[in-house]
Amino acid sequence: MKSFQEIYREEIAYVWRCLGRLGVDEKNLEDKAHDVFVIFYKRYRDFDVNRPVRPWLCGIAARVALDFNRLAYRRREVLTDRVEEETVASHPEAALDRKNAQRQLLAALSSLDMERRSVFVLHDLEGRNMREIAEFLDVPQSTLYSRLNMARQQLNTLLGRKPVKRCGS
Amino acid sequence: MSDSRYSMEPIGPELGALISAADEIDGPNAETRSRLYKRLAATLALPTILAAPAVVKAGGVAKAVAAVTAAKPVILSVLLFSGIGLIGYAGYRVSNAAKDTAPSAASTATNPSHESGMPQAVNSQM
Repeated sequence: MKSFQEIYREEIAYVWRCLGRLGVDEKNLEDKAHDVFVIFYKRYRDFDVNRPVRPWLCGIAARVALDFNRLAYRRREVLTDRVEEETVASHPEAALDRKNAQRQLLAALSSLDMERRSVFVLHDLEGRNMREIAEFLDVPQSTLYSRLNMARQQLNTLLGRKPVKRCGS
Repeated sequence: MSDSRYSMEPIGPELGALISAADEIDGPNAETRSRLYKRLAATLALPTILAAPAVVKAGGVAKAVAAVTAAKPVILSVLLFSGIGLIGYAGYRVSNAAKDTAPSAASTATNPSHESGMPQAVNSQM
């Protein structure tokens, strides 16, 4: 059984990315990552060690991010608008390099409401299955499929209208 | 992964390209990791031992600096005791050298039998 320190060292980057994709802004990432690991630690002894730890951490991160976003909804809206402008304006030759892609992905995700964003991130970006996501978010699978469908439609439309390679031109 | 009962919008090529291009895990830098772990350690009463690996991971120079910093008391002790040892040894050599030269000079000055070539015991009986 891995120690808490080992798990922290191995998974902090993953938790950080999940939280960022789920809408936690940069200045609050550290606080929310702290919350995720505190919850994880308190339940760690009950955890089945034969199961992978990442889905569990992802679920905790999803709930923490949702709570955070519910509380900070208005502030987040203002911040994400600024992120999208910055992405387009200050990176005129945006190719699909990793950093730019991450920025663009975050900007695109910010166009989704939190319910759609969560299911899209957990399913399409983090590779969790719908049964897990339904457990994480306490939402019926049929609702999640509907949200995922709408999230994909919205993102396809957004990126199709403003394709990635021509993002800055 | 998806349920066949639901008809889903496929992921378009632009979105797919963006997802694969962004699929990297960067995470926080070493300083933030270390600071966050210290916060967690304080909250959960854990041992605060994560900082060292985070610093060592930063690179060769950082690794060397961390190793020297960690070993500083040992290095200082070794230097101190080596210094004391060297001074002691030098003192010992000087005092031996003085002993080696002092008796012969004294005996030459006080004992004339050396000049006669006779053994000292025989000389004293005469």
